[in-house]
Amino acid sequence: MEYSKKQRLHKLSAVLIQASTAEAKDKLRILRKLIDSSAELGEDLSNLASHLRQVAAPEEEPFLFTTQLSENRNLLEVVFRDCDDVKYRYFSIGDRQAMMLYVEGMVGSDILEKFILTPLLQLKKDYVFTGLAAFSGILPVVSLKTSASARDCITAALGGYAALFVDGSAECLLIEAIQYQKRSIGIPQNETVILGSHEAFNEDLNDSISVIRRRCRDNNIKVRRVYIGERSKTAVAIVYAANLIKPGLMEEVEQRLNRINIDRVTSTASIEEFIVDHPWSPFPQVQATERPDKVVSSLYEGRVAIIVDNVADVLLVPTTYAQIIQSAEDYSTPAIVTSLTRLTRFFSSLVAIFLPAFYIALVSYHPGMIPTALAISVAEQRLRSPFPAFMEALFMEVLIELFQEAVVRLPQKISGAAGVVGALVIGTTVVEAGLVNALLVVITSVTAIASFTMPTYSFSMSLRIMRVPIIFIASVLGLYGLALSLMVIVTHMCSLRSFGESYGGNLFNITLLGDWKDTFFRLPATLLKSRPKQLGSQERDRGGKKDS
Amino acid sequence: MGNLERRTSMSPAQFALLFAVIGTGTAVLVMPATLVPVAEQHTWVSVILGAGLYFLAGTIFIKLGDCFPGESIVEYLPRIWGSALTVVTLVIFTGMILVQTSVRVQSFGREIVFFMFDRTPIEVVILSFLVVCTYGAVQDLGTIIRMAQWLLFLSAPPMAALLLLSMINIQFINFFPIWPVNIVGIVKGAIYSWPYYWGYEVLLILLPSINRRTTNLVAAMASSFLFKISLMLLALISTIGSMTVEGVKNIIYPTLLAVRGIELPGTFIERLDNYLLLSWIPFGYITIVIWIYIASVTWCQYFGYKDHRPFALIFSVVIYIASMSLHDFSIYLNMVETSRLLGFGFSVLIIPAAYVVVRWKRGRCKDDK
Repeated sequence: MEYSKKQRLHKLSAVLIQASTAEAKDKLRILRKLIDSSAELGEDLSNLASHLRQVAAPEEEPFLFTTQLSENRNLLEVVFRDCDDVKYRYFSIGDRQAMMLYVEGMVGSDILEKFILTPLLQLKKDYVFTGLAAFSGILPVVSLKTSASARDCITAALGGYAALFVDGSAECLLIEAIQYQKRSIGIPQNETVILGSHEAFNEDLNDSISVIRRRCRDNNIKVRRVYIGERSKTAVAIVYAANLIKPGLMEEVEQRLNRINIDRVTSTASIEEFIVDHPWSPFPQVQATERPDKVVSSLYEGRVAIIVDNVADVLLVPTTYAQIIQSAEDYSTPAIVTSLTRLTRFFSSLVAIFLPAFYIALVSYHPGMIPTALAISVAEQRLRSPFPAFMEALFMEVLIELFQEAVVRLPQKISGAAGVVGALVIGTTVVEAGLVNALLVVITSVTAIASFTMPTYSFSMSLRIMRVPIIFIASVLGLYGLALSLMVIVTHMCSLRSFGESYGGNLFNITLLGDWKDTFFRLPATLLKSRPKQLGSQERDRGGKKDS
Repeated sequence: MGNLERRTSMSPAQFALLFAVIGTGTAVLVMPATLVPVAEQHTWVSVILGAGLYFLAGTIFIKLGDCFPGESIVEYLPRIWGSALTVVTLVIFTGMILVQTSVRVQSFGREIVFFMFDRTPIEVVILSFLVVCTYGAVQDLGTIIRMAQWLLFLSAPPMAALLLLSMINIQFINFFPIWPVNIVGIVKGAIYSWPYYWGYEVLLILLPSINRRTTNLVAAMASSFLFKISLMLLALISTIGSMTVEGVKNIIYPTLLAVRGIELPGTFIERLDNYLLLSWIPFGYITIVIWIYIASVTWCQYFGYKDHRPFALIFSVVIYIASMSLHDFSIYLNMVETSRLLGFGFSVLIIPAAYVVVRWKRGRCKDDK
C-alpha cells in the first residue's frame, strides 16, 4: 500500500495508464494553480493579519507590542516568517517567561552566552522583575536600550542586536551583540602609494569611522548618521569638520541624502547619482577614495565625507577638477616633483581627449601644418591603408576599448596574457595587415597611456567617453571642430557644480589664484599655511585656533 | 538651498578679465586692416587715443551707474527720460549688439573658411559656431565669468607669443616716415577703433553685479584697456614692420599673414597662422556669448522675466539670419560702418547725454568723488 502511494505520487502515468499526455498535463496545471492559489491565499491572510494588528499602531510601525509575551512572539513570527536565521530563545527570569530574539550570524554566540544569557539565567527564582531598565546593572554589555517600537526592534535585530522580551512588559531590551564576519583593514587596491599610509577602508562603517578618528583626535570632527534604502536601511555616515566646513554645506549634504528614495543601497554609485546636480555629465562630480589619509586631508579642507556601510569607498564632496587630478602620493614626494607631476597630469588630460582628433584634423584638413618630412612619411604610410584617417582612428579606439574591457573583466592571472596579446595585435599585426598606419598606433597608445595617468579611474573613463565624439567632430570640421569641442568642454566644466562649487571654472578664477599653490603646483608644506579659498572653509589658517 | 555658490557676483578684477576678452581677438586680427589705411604710420597713436576716448566713455558709464546703486540701465533709465525714450535707447543698445555681433560672426566665418576650410560652406562654419555660442549664452553669469577667465588664460599667452615671434620678420625702416603727422587720420582712426575696445558697455547691465569693496573698478577697467592696447600695438608692429603700411592696406587679414611668414629654423612647427586662428577662436566665442547674454538679460529685465534663456535662443537665431545676409561684401562693409556708428553714437553721445540729464536733475551723485 505504502509502495503504491509512493508510486502514485511519483509517476502519474502509473495511475492513469489510459490517460493521454494532454490529460496528464491538464491535471498538473490544475494542481499547479491550486498550489499557487493556496500560496497567495496564505500571503493574503498573513497580510490581513498584519493589517489588523497594525490598526492600533502608529504610522510606520508594523504593530504594537503587548504585555503578553506569547502575543509578541506571534507578531514577530509573522514579521520574520520564512526567516530561518532568526532565532528565539526562551527562558525564565524569576517567575516570568522571557524570550530573546536574535539573527544568527549577525550576533556573537560568545557574547550571547557569556554576557547576556549567563547573567540572566543566574538570576534567583525569587527575582522580582521591575522593568527592563533594571537589566542595565546586570548585563555586562556596552550598549543596551529599551524600546517600545516594533520597527526599531526589527531593524536592530537585523543589525546584530539581541532583543529581550519579558512577559508583562510591552517593551523590549535591545542589547548590542554585533559580531558578524567582515574583512579586516587591508591595503588600497586602486590608490597605492610608494611612501605613506598603506591602510584602506573596509566595508564596515564603524571600522571606517574609526580609521578616520584614529588619524584626527579632534572633537570638531563630527559624524552624523542617516539611513537610506526603504528596505536595506543602509547606514550612511556624514563626516565633517564642524569648525571648518562652509556654512550650510553639511545641511545640504544631509538633505540630499535624505531625499534619496530607493529600496536598497549596494554601492556608492547608487548614492552618487542621487546627490549630484548633473547625473548625465561624463565628469565624476563626487570623489570616491579608499584611503583614510585622503579623507582626513579633505575634511581639513572643508569637505564632507560620506561613508556608506558595506562599501569600501568613501565619497568626498564638493569635488572639483583640480581635486580629481590630485593623488595621495602628491604629499609624500618632494614639492618640485609633485608640481611637475601635476602639470603632466593636466597636460595628459588634454592629450587623452584631443590627441587622436588632432591627428585626424591635421591629416585630413591641415596637412600643411605637418613638417614636410613628417608629412611625406605619414602620406607614405597611409598609402598602405585603404581607410580614411577617421576610420583608422575609430578602429583603433574600438580595439583599445575592447582590450581595456577584456583586461579589466578577466581574472588577474589571465589579464596579463590578454594585455600581451593586445599589445602584439595592436602594435604589429594591425600595421602589418595594412589596417592602420604606424603613426596612428603610436598616437592611440600615447592617448591610452595619458588616460591611465589620471589618479581617479572614473575621470579616466570620462576622458575616454569624450574622445570618440571629438574624433567625429574633428573628422568633419578639422581643427576648427577641435576648438569648438574645447569651448563646449570648458563651458560644461564651468557650468558644472558639485555642491555649489564650480567643477572646473575656478581653476583660472582670478580671485582664487592663491589656491594655485596646491592645484597646478604644490608648494612645500611650510608654505601651505592656508586652506583652499575655493571651498569657503570658515577658518583659512591651517595653524588653527585653540577652540573647544 | 539649491546652490551654495553666489552665481551673480563678480569682483572688479573679474570684470577686467571679462572686458579684456571681449573683441580682443578681432582687435588683433582685423584692426590693422581697418585702421592702417586711415591713420597709416600713426595708427599706434590712434590706438592709444581711441583707448583714452573709450576709457572716458567707460568711466561715464560707471559714474552713471553709481548714481543708481544696485540698478541696471533697464531699471534706472525710465527715471531719467521716461519709458518711451527708454525703449528707444534699449532698442539702440540691442541693435548695436546684434549688428556688431552679426558682423563679427560673418567676419569669423570668412576667416575660418579663408584660412582653414576653403571648400566648406560658410553657413556650416557659422551655424556650428553659433550653436556652441548659444550653449554658452544660456548659462548663468557666474559660468560666463569663469569661462572668460579660462579662455583668457588659454588663449592670450599663445596669441601674445605668436605676435612676439612675428617680430623676427620686422624691419624698422617700414615704420618710417614719422613726419608729416596725419592729424585727421589719427582722430578718424581713434573713432574707428571703437569695435576693438567695445565691451565696457556690459557695465550698463552688469554694474550692480560687481562687488566693489576691494578694488577700484575704474583702475580695473584701465588695466583691461592696457591689455588691449598692448596686443593691438604688438599686432601693428608685427604687420607694419613686416609688410609696410602700403602692404597692410591691401590685405584683409594682415596679422595672420605676418604670423604665417614666421619661419623658425630647425623646428617642427609650420603654418603658425593656424595656431593664431586657434588661439583667436576662444576670444571670438566668449565675445559672442557675452553679447548674446547681455542682450538677453536686457530684455529679460525689461519684461520682468527671470530666465534669460528664451531670449538667448531668439537672439542667436536673429544673429544667424543677420550674419547670413552679409555674404555680399558691399553689404558687409555697410554693416561694419553702421555698427561703428551705432556703437560710437551710443557710447559717446547717448549714455553721456543720459549722465548729463541726471547731473542736471540731481546735481552731484552721492557716490561721485
